[in-house]
Amino acid sequence: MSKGIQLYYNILFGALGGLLAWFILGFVKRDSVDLPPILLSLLPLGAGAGLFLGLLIGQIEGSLIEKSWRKAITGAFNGALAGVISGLVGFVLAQLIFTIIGGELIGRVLGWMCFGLLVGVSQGLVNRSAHRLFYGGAGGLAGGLFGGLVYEGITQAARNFEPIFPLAGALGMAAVGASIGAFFALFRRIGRARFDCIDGIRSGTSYYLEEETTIFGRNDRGGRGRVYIPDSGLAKEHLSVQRRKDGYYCVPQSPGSQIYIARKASGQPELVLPQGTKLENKDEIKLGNVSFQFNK
Amino acid sequence: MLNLLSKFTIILWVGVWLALLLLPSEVNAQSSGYDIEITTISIKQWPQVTVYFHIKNKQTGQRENIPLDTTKVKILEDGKDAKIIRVTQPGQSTSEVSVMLVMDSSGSMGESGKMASVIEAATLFVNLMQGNDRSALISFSDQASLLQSFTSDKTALLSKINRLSPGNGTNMFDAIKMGVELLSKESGRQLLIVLTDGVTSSGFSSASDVINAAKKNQIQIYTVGVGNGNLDENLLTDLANQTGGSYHPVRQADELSKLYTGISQGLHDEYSITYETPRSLNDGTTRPVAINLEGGSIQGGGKVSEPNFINFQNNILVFIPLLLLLLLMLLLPNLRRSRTRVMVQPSTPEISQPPYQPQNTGYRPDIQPPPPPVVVPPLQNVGLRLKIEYRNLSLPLKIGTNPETNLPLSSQLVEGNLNLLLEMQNGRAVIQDLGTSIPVELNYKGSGNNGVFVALRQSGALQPGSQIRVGNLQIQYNAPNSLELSANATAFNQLLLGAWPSDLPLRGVANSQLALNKLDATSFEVKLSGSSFQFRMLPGRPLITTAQARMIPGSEIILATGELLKLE
Repeated sequence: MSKGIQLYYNILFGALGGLLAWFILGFVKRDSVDLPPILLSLLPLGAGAGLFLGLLIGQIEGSLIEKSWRKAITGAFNGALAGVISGLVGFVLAQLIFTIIGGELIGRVLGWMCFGLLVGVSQGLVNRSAHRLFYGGAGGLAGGLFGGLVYEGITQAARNFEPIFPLAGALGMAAVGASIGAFFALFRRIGRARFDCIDGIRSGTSYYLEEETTIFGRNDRGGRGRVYIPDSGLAKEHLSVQRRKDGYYCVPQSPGSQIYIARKASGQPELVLPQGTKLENKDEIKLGNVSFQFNK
Repeated sequence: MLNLLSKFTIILWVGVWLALLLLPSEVNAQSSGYDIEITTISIKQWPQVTVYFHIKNKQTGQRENIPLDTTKVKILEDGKDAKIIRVTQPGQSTSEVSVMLVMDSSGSMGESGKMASVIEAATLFVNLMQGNDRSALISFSDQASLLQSFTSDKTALLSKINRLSPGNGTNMFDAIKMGVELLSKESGRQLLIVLTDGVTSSGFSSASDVINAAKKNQIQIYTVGVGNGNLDENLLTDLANQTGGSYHPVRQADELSKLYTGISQGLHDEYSITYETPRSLNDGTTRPVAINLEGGSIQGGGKVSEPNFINFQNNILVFIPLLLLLLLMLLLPNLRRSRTRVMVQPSTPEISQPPYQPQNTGYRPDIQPPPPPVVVPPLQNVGLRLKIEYRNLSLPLKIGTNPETNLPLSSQLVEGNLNLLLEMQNGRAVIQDLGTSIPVELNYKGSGNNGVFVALRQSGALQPGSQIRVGNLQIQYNAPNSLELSANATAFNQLLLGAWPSDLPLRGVANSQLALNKLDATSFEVKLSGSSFQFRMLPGRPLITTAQARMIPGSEIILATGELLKLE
């Protein structure tokens, strides 16, 4: 799956999360203009919105990139958990910011930025990943900014056409979800090396080396730092890529297996050492029937 | 010339008449000489909104009480006419005013007769209370104390005011916060007047706490700073401005009575219009409010903000189409991909797709360093071919070099790792390469390209008779449930058929194998191990269960499992 398609799915699943939240939470009755009841009513709304967004964005990696249902379920669960907590706090804080700023465009945008930031940061916390914390937070913040602008724009554009108020609300929420999803995917690419699959069953897919150690293999166990490649030429744990102080190293995981790196610089094959061999930019490595290119 | 003059005259006349037509409304709109000054807009009774305002003389800048014709009052919210519920005018008994008096009783208030002046001013303020007015009193020194809760009883209020006496420190913020909380429970016009002569020295609350609480509850705070000494005028100004109130510095204590009288007068000179919002949606929007009085001769405007950050006003008729659209968009890449797969098969492959040429891409590392390429002659030209026909297959079908596939083959036979998937797509059989380490070639038999093999790039559609060639193996697609596998028997001294691990699979034979051992260039010895299957040499030979036989070109074996084995 290409990076463009990954972004496309992030946008769509984010939008779907926003739309579902808008529809299902629309059944929560709320008509107060006093702050305490507003805040109280926002607790289920925030939890629900965070749940849908977190669940749908969290499962993307497992279901679409690695095509591992186990990983998809784990991702969805973690995403949903993070989403509920962050949505709960996020909506309340967003409302307080909105009230203090005095509403309007700035209040709305800052409110959504707060919500997006918390949703993103919580994804990192639940997954215990510093990188995810960074890109989640930054992506959520940027997504909230962009989504908030779109939400406000749509709401303002529709304000004099009463029959389409619900449509404006739905599009606004979908836009917020879509932009949070999109910026998650975009910020994810910053600051981390990746393995781009250039040939084989996962051709076109990028795997970000977010953890200290990322293990590539045929083991569909899910969990952090595991990349599932369903290729019969791979061992269950075939190769690990470790982030060390001076760079990334690949280390064979199966005893006795011989893995070669095609060096971009020299054009010569080099056997991966048991203690690890340092990867250089654009190095190619073939595991079973799947070829990867390392990109810093 | 005359013509020109007459045209000019006509234009002049039209212009004069237009000016006369337009002038009265313009004159009418400005002729009153009054402005509307909105003091606050309350949404506590949402969806009812109350606008409090004064009418000011434009020339003098003074507030004036003009009896309004309530039938000529018009309110527009967000450009739409609003239904007016109630209009109150200065001095009407229906107006409700609630005022919280917050008084500094710190030690410094005992100096220069300040406390006496404060008591005098507060007494005057209470005495000016009208019908529905309610007031309460909080004093603060080290601590904030509610001396009198909201009441219309002037005697009760006055007795508490007279008990004010100077004490210790200054805990203003806690006192204001307490006042805001109590005031927020009142209805009608709400105002908090805080008087101090010093700087806050103790307490739990901060200025921002107080401002936020007042803004949340739409309460205006009037601040009064007494004396010249230890005052934080910036803070008092900020506190007032941010809540819609105003700051009043009082240098001489005797000015206090005048100030409190002015505030009371201001409150009682207020008009109010209560209307029902034409946009009751809790959508957090800020809407412009325009007031037209006396048929539009007095005009003014302000803004009202609905405070909900988010609104989920759902609608199934909106939800379903959007949901379907998103789901369709989610499926779109897959639909496009499958369409591309089928389109891989060219209608005239010899033109659009050249025969496969292995690319010289340099070294591609593997678990094992790749063996040097072996040139294998096309199977049509080899001496001996072993052919197996598989029937009663069901799709999708995986063919590959691992035991998890439906038809597992040995790596030795195909000279590499094979991973193919045969499935039906849109009613057509399509073969997909899921990751094969060696070139796969396809002969699009049945599409006008019989006999020419081209490289399989990811996938290709098959016709009955289409052939796939990989290493020593050729696969012929006959029908969705029938395939023929042909192996180059010349290249091997022994071929194993049966359960995994074998070169070629035979289905339904647990732990049994059939070995073909080469005897010479044209014959094989057939040998059984295990007893899971039976076979019959054709034509007309008896059933053999455990036996040895000799196969020569033309020999056919029909297996009890349904496969047909043939040596050509």
